[in-house]
Amino acid sequence: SQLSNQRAAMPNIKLQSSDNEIFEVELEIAKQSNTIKTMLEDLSVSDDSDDPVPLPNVNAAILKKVIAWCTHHKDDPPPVEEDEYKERRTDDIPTWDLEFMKVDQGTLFEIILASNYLDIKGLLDVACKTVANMIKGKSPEEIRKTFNIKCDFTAEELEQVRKENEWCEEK
Amino acid sequence: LKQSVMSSRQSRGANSRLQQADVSNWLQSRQRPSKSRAAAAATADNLPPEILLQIFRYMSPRTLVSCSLVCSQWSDIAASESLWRPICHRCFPKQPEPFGIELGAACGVWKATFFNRLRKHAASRKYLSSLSNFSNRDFRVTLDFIGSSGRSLEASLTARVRNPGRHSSIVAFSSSAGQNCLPSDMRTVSRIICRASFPAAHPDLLPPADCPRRSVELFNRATSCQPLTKLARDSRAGANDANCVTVRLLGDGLLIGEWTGERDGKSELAFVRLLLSHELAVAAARTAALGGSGSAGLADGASGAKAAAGSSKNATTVSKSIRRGASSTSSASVRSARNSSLVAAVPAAALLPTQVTGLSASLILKEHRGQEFVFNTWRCVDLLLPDGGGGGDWLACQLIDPRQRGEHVPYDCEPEFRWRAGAAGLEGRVGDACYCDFLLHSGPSGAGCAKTGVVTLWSISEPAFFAAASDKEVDGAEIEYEYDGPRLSLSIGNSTGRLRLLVVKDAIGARGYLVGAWLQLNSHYLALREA
Repeated sequence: SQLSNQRAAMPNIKLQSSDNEIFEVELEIAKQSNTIKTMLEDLSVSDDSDDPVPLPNVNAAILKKVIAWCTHHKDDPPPVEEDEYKERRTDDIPTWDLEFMKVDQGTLFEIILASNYLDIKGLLDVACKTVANMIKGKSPEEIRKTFNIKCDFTAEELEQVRKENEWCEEK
Repeated sequence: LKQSVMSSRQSRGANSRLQQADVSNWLQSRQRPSKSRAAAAATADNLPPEILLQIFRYMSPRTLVSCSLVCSQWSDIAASESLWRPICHRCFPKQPEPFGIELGAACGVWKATFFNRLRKHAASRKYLSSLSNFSNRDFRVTLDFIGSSGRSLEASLTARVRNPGRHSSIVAFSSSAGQNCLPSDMRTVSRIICRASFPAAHPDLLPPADCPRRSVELFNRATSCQPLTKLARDSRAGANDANCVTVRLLGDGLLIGEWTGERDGKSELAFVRLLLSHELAVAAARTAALGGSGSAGLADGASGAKAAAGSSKNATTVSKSIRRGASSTSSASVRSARNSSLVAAVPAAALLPTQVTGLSASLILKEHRGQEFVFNTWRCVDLLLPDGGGGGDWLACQLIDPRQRGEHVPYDCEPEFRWRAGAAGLEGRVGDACYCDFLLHSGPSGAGCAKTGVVTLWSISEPAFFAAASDKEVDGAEIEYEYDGPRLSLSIGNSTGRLRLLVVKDAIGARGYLVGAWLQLNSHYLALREA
């Protein structure tokens, strides 16, 4: 019972990455992931279970990043539901997050996928904002170049799409 | 005991293993399908659509258009309704939901709607900027009166655009017709066509084809043109900063002015309608902002309406203009006289999107005992509806007071308005019409003293339409009011009798409701009625 008291004071959880690395994190930090939170509730995992939670979709490098983000943001208020009609800003990323997101594109997209899978709204939002900022103000060709996307339109299709999206210039 | 402990441990161990399997299964079941995640590294190319959609939510319309041209997957996702709907609401906040005409578009309804509205906006802007060539230049407005007998008469007016573009207005009218009333055999005018003939060198001044509200339906009643000159004379230069662009005169003395202009860097379209006749004159103005976050309304059609009504002692003129925004006020005037008429409006938005003809409306008066009096004498005046630009606009309708025709009408009854657009087979109710009755009497300031006062309406979002009708005992009531939020300032001339203030609320998307109203004249409460 002494042991269980100790655990109650500072409960930890073990997370196992896809490449079988195990990370021990505070339960409260891990619970920023709605996926993990719901899982713990759904399965009512006992406190003294030492078994790591396998996260087959997230590798060690990304999981480490995700944990770092969650640790830094552990005292954040819970995210609020956004008004669907409100314009969403992308210029309000905190400095720490800006630094955090200074990673190569592959990592950035891995973070997006991981935060989507783990359902961490704050991280997903800030990562999506980062990508949105990379797109803003760019021409279609520049976007393709930035993200190495192949244009799969035929010439006729492209012409058609251009026509549909013709912007009427305001004076 | 030992055995039992052992078995307990065993079961616990088994339980723990079971849990482990559960956890894996559970997490597996949560896994979202995505293209060969294990094999390929994450790139923008293989992001799941829902993530791409999430990213696109941060985009401006212009960036979304760029995204549409990147590749077919992006193109499909960037056309999502869930992206364009909020954009439409943000960019064109005053316009109604898309309907009908826009459904046939290749891309999503909301994206098509956005482009549709943007094009109209751009056309209006271009039109406005072309106005700047016309500072202080005269142009002619020609009116063709076509009588039911086929006879036609042409009259022309001269108008001047002052400060076009930014604060332009038509400042003067003069009629070339000399006598300002139609000849007696032209009293039944089936049609009046109004054309503005601008200098040939500047065809741009005519509104572009897709500028909303180019044509107006007919109004098939006898016409008195007299108010027109009055309008000309009394229109004060610079008295308002509305930008008048076109003026239309229709039968029954209906004059429709269409204001297009720009204020504080924001473009706007506004419409003013005046119904001028010996018995009724109504002006309703409403603005619709085209782009920009706020919308400023136009200034008063009141001077015109007042002038119009001034020609006839019998006139009831209601003119209203609404300006949105905290700091703005607008003025209007109400004149009320012996032959009162009820006036109301039908929400144009309800009639989207077709050009509807044959709209009729009924006023149903319900007596307290349950007896209903139905009057189908409404006429509708402007039926080119649509979406463009004038969203939320109202059709002005008029009902000639049945009492004028000798019919018995109980005064104490609840009005209910119904409308029906014959050709389109549409019908509906104008939601929540309320009225408040006020007793007017000569005291306390005594006969001959003008009274001023305030009507306060509680809990009303924004009345779509005000109208005043007076009991027949009321003589010469003259009400001037300023509409500023829920307050109306009134000045009532020398009058006694009963005054009914009618408030028609927005039937489309209205939230507020009228709780009550009082009229305070010279610090004395004259009447209070819970509506």
